[in-house]
Amino acid sequence: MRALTFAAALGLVATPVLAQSPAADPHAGHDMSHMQQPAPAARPDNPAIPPDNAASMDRLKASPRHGEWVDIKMPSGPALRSFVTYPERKDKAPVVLIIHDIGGMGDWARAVADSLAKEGFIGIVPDMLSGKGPNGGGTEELGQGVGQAIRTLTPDDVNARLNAAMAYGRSLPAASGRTAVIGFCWGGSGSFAYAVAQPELSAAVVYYGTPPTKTVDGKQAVDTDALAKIKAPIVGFYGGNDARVTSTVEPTVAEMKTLGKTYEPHVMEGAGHGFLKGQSGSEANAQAAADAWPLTIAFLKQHTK
Amino acid sequence: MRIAVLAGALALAAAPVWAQSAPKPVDDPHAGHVMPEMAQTAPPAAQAPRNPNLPPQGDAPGDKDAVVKAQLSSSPRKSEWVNIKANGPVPIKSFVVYPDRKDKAPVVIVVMEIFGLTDWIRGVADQLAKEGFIAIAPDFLSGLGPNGSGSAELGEDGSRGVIGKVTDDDKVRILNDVRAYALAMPSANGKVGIVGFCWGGGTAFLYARKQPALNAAVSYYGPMPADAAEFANTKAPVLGLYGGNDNRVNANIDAAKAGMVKANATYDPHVFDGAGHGFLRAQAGNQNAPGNMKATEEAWKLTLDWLRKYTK
Repeated sequence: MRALTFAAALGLVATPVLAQSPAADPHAGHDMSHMQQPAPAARPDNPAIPPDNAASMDRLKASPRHGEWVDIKMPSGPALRSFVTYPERKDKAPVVLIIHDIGGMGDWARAVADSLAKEGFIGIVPDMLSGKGPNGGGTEELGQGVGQAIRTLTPDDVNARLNAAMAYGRSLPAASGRTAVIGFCWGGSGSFAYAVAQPELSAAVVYYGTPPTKTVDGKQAVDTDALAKIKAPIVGFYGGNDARVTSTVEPTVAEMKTLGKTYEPHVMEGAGHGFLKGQSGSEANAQAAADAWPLTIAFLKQHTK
Repeated sequence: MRIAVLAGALALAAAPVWAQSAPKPVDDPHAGHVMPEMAQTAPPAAQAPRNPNLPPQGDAPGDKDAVVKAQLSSSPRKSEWVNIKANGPVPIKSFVVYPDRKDKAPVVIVVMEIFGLTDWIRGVADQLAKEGFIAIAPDFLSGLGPNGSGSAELGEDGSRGVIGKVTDDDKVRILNDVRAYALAMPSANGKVGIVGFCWGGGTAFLYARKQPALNAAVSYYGPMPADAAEFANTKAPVLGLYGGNDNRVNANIDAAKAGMVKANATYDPHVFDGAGHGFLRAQAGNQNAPGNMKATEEAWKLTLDWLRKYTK
């Protein structure tokens, strides 16, 4: 942790230097929107991990990998508009389903899928709002209405959509048959819930999402009955400064231990909610992203072999 | 042949000029930003002067299309945009490049990737014209962009977003219109081949399956149906060029082989070890696709030989 503190201090010191010499800024002429908030020095894009939100489209454009949109059929209801990325490998690959955050389908979630493909996985990002927009559209057509619409999705809706994406992934000739899930924020909770609902899942990764809960004596508590159904090992990544979510870790650890389930939470000190997408938000966020992603990949590789 | 040898020698002499006009890394305003993945692990071949006898790379450091733009802006050949009359709802906007030759030339239809009709595809068309073919690159997204526009207005990622709307029937209809245009060209010899990449590789093979009068097809890493019956009507000889690390596509090569044998049609697939999907564009490659340049060199030679043989 000393190293982390030291890095953060350096970041703060470096900020005024950059601010005073815009001419030397190698980012000149680029999208600076993510830097307009009072953040520490921006790091150069690190291609070893998913991008900061602002770098998502650049990353997608520079990707050497194949990515395509597909409309995945569901047993009932609208087609699931999904972005699918493929790894450059000669053998069959495991599939990772990516659940976007509360903002809906976006370039950042697609870039995460591309980062997973770089590591050898087929990535599938379904637009969970498919069919919820005007004229049967999804996130794009909803625009400002995403926040309202996403609340109308029940846990069963979400699981049904993930089941359709999983079935599609398994049907691909290039897929190995192993499927994992990863989700962020709203999707992190969805990832945890999917581990409850889908016994054939090989692994679940939860980024700053909550476990299934129920109301006990008027208070929210971890739903032990739900956790008991989990088969897949779960890894979780949480911001140290995200008490809303991170306060659920301790009781979840206790319940999962009692149930004999695998649950590996990592609390990233100093990081806020959404640190992977918001890498530029603080030095601690950037550090958390750099630390969490290799652990994510190692976990996915281990459990989808 | 003497002329061809001379052209090759000239091209080699010109190579250092190309090298000098390539963007210098120190001047690159993108330094420190998102770079193609080759930047970290570029094999030495990526730094070599550009080989003018290959299509331009589309994964140059910094501006990925820098080499493509240099080729297009300095090409001595006649090129033009035309609106090809269509049996569909809108004319097909197409980029046409003519070879410098005095006799009639075969026509090669160049089919775009999933990113639409890009500068890189135009660069490939120019390269084919350099080799003596009339090259026509149609915009399959004509009319699908904002206000009836197409690929250019959609951009590469936007094109990828709408390309799923183009059905197999649309593809064949558009290609039949383009082929009719090609056959009517006064400087054309009446032979028409097709070469396509990625989405277009699948489209090139599709057209070979649907248009028995087609003379030759080259499919670069194009997806194929798994059902052998889909190949039953194929007449045109098909050359298949695939990256070894592209199992999404390669998983169906055996099915295609079986289908083509059953149809008594010629299919010659080549799988290049260590190359990824899209190797002819991403020539520099990356850690997961170190063989892209080698694949490019071998595949392009096979392409020219195939097209020359069947469109004479």
